[in-house]
Amino acid sequence: MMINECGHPLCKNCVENLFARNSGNCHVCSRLLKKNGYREQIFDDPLIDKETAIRRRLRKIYNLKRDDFPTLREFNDYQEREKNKDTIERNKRRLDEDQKWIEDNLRDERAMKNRINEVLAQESKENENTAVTDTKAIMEELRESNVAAEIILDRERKRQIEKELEEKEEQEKRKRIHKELLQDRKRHAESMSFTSTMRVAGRPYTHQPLDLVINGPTLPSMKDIETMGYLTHMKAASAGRVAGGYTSSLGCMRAIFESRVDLLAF
Amino acid sequence: MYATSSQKKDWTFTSEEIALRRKNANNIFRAKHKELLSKGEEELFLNPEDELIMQRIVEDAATRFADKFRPHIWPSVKWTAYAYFKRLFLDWSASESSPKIVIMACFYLAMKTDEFYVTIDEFVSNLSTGSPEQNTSRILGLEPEIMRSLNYNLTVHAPYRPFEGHLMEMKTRMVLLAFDLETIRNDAFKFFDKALQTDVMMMFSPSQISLAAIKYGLVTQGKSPDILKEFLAKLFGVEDNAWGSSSEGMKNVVKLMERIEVIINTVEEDFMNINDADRLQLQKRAGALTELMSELTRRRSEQWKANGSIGKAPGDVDEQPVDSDDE
Repeated sequence: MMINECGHPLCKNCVENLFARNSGNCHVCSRLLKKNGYREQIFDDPLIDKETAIRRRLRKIYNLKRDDFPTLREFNDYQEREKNKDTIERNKRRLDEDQKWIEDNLRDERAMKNRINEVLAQESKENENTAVTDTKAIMEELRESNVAAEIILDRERKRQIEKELEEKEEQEKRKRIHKELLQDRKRHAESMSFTSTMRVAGRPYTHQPLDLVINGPTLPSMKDIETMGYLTHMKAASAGRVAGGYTSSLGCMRAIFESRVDLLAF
Repeated sequence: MYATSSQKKDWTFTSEEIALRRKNANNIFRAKHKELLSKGEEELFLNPEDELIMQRIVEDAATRFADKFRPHIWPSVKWTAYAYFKRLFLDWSASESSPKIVIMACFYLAMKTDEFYVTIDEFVSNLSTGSPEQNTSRILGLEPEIMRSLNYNLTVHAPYRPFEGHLMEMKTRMVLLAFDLETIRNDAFKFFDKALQTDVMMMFSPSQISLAAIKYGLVTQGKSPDILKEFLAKLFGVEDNAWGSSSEGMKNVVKLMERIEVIINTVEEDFMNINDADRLQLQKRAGALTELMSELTRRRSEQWKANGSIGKAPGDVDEQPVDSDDE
């Protein structure tokens, strides 16, 4: 007997016949089966056969042993994964604090928008109502009072004009404030600085060369020292010293400078 | 630079000022011990002149010490040390602080400021008197005290580099000289050595002292001092045809020549040729003074006991932490 995954046995001939096209429905439960899914039935009871087959398959996925993996690391990873499967799955679905916060804020915002919309809707409704009552009231007045209709209409028109003017003024005022705000911002942007230093207004620095008071004959320049032959009376600086930035004219200058400082201090 | 230095601002005096300060120092020392003296003992005290002679004797001995010092010190170390020594004894009395050990401490400090590196062990091995340990502790103990008294003005401008500058200048400008200018060097340095034992370093600028040395050298070599005058005229840019004229430059030359003369004279006058007899006599007096001082100390502690041993015992000094990195 042959058996497939649904656990309903069938003889080999029938399988060949029924599943000539490699796939077909089970004759008992009408489940779609494949021909190559059929195997030899081992146990007499098809239920047990089915169960052992499932267990065998599961063993391939779970309950693996160390020798099923090439390295210990992979085995450990597998164990870890299996052990914490539930937790991982649960955590995937759980929100962390940031997400919660975002959700909360979004919810709040949505609620606020809704509230505002509600209020606005109510207001417009009321406005409509007042407009309606206004006209209604005028009609009543016209009908009931004995004042001339002209006067009443005139008064109403006046009131309307005043209202419009008021509204206009309000709008203008709002516009002006808005404009000022923009200008302010513009001004700020122009003088904005990305450094922390403050701009200090003051006189720009002009460099004045320092005056060296020698109180003696003026010093020869470095060039003079070289051309006038001072250096012939001086030990030449070694190559190492020249490499270090010392030239014999420097030493010469020092000696000459010291010999002239305060020569005329009487 | 000398023109802006503390040496010029705070440590340059006239000879009268120097004498006055020495006298003051002596008076302060006398006043300290006045109340304990019995009659006639006042005579034993040294007067300012004796103290000066004592200083000069020590300075003379220190020249020999400096010459024998190994490794060889360069001249500016010597000049610096003497400058410290003289500045100190403007306010200190030679009867109170032993000038002998003070000048050694001055030398040690001068070596530090003049970048002539020796360790304290090396330094004391050059001393012939006293045990090394004792000398070490005394010198190191004096060092911070000296610096405090000098008001930490440690830079001293010596005339040696100006001397080289002048010599170089002369060699460059005076091409027609018939002799080698290097011949005056020996005598000029003799002049400097002499000047060390006088007060000129506290009176004149180093550039002028070095000119005086040149003149001294020229004269000792039998050359005419007019060479120096000619050189100065060239240095100040006074043209040949302006000789005898009253131009600004010429006036300066004349003034400077006079100043050089003054410096040389000061050195010659100040320099004491102390003979052995004077030295012996002074030594005797100093010995007597030392005895008197120990007697005074005894009297003071007796007085202190008689008064009921109140306060600090005389002679007890508060140990101040010594700020020296040598230990």
